Amino acid sequence: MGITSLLNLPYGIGITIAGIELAWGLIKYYLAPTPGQRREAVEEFYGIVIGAILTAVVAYYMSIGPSIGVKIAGAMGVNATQIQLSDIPNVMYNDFNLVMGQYIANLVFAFAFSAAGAIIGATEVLKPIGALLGSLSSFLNAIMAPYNRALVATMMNTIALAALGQVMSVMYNYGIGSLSVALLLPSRTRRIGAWLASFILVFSILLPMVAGYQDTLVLNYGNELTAWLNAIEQQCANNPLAKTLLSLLATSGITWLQSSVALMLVCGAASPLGLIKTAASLVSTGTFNLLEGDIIIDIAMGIGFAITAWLADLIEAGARALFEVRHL
Amino acid sequence: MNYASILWGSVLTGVGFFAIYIAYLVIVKGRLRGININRELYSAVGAFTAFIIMMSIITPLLGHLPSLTQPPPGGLVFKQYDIVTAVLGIVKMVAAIILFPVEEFDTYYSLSNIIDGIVGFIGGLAYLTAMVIALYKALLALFPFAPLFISLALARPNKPGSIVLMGIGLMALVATPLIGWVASLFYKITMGVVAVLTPPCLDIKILGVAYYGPSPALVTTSQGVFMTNGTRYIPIWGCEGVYVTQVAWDWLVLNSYYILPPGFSIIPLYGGILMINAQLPFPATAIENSSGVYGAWFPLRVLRYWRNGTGYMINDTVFYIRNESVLFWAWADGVGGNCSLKINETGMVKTTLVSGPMVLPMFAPLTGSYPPGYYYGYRQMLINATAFNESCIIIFEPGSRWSGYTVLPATGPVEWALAGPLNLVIGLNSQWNNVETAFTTVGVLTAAVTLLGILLLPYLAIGTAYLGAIIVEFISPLWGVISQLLPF
Repeated sequence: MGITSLLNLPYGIGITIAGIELAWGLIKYYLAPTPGQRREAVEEFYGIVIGAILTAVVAYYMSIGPSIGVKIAGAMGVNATQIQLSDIPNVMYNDFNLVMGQYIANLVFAFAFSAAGAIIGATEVLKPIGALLGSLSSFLNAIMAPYNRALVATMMNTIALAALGQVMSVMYNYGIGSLSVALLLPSRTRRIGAWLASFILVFSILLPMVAGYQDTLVLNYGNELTAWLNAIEQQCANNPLAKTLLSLLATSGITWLQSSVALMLVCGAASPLGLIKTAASLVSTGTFNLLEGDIIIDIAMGIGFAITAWLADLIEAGARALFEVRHL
Repeated sequence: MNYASILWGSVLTGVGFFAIYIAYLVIVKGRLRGININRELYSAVGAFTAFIIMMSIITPLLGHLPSLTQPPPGGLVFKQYDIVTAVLGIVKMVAAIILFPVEEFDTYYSLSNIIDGIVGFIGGLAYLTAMVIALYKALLALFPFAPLFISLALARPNKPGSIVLMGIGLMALVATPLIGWVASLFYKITMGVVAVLTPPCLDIKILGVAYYGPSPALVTTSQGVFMTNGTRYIPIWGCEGVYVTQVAWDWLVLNSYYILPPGFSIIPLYGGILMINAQLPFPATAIENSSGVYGAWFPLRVLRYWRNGTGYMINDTVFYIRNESVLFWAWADGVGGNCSLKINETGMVKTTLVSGPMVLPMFAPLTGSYPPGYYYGYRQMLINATAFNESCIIIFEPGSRWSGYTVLPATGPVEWALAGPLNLVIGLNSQWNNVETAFTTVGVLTAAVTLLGILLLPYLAIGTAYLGAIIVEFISPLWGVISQLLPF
């Protein structure tokens, strides 16, 4: 990254404050009536220069945080996509939609079978057909229950990460990272500056890393129903009878839901063994990985907040030592 | 795994961190800037000492905790769960198919309740197990860094973040082996319970049955029992052969033979037709109406015969004799006549009592035995009817419909599903030691964490400050003496 690109970073209000303080240091130095006050001004000026440098460093750090996060995750053997701070809310929103869509599709499938069963089963003669559809619904509900719970847990995580991402995105775009360093200079704002700086130092790396990990999990395991239907369709292709039925359905112009339900009925009946095996392996892998990811993310975020609180105190003490002007 | 080797790097990092912190306090703050660092130094030295003491105590103590094992495969838990629930789901579907058209739907819903109960129970168990395994995996990744968190917490012990870090560090150190232990126990419990429920195979077939003989008949097979009036469908395991072991009609064992179905069918799920022919051990007259056969009788032998003696059947319940003494065998509710009748109850033809699947009483669409363990409406009799110089009408009274009659066949997968609740109990019973140990460990862990949170952590700051003060005050004079002895 060259100097020009450094200048393009979103310093925001932080650099303005640093500039004002720099000007104030200069004015104070030139207007200082006594050598003692002039020395105070020099100290303050040095502090501001260091602050200005740190401002740039923090802005740069925020811009490279995501790639550092991905590298750390990679070093720990965790696969995570690289997401820029400003992109986290959107990516998490998309992930949420994907997972929510999957969750709704699961429920719609179960509901479609159950409702069809209830309607058909209302007539005494067709009661067993109603029971057949009802049992297919409970079969779907049962086999998908742990997966649905994992999806709900994942949705909660994506919401939390999106909210944090929103905060970090605003902080990045408005240069709050730089502002936090600027706030460390005056003693009155040092505490909030320390907390902000600590939060930014920790979460500039942790949040993209965790969000990237979540995104990878969602992309790999958040859409098992589609994968399951595809796998069933593949199995169905080996059965000539089911194949014919499916081609008839395909030309009948029915909706995707109807065709999916028909696919499950036809292929499920044609190859129950394949249905069981495919469902078992896909859903079990997806469920466990999503659950594991949820727990890891929860623990990582907890540790992140603890370290933020711990580091804030240290930064405040450091800033006091660095920027406190001794009045002679 | 050796705890010391896992934690060594992190402990060294912690030591290095404290060394830098104390050096910074003494050199930069104390010497260069001339600030009074007593309080900070007490705290830092106390924290460092506490860290060393803590690590020296905890690391050997960890050796007494369960070793860090490889996390059990959590995906496998769900896979087993999914296989069992999928087969149970297909059993429900198959039951609905074979009960078409409407027949005994209360029975179907009872079966459905059994299956839902099994799925709910093992689903909860599998989810809990997977959660504990996932937690263990996460803690295992955190474990090597635990001393680092403790050192960070001790360095600034009076801050809220430090208390959380200390909690995380201690939890990771102590709880990881214990949660690993609990995870492996839960894994054993779940897999043990699921193993009891594991179906013989995943191949479920529907077999057509064509029965010829007195009905309704109870057919016992190598894959369970079912009843039939003529034609019906039964679910079977496709991977296991099915053969008829006995055919009974109203507890009466029949002579029977059957034809095995062809092994191949292009229609999915359909396993062919099983043809069963059954008859009484001798050509008896059946007391029959449109809904079934309600008794049978047969003139076994003419014992005495006088001049112009005669005997013949009038209809399926009435026999006429004159000047004859005839021995009848009958399977009926009773017998009457207008001549001398000597009735002896007999077991000439074998009767049967067939065990059904093990089913808890509340899930009893099919009772535990077929037929019920008492005779209801039938007696097996040998009747000696004598009519000398008189005409005699012998009337055989029909029995009742078989009270144990049921439409839901308890064969193959249905028998397996019906036996599920009791199998679950058996599975849990076999894992009882593991269940006890797992819940005791969880209890101990909860109590330890509560005590740690309430009692220890709030006093961390004061404790480390006192410890530091004692050590610094002890070392300072010692250092004074040593510095006097040094030549530079």
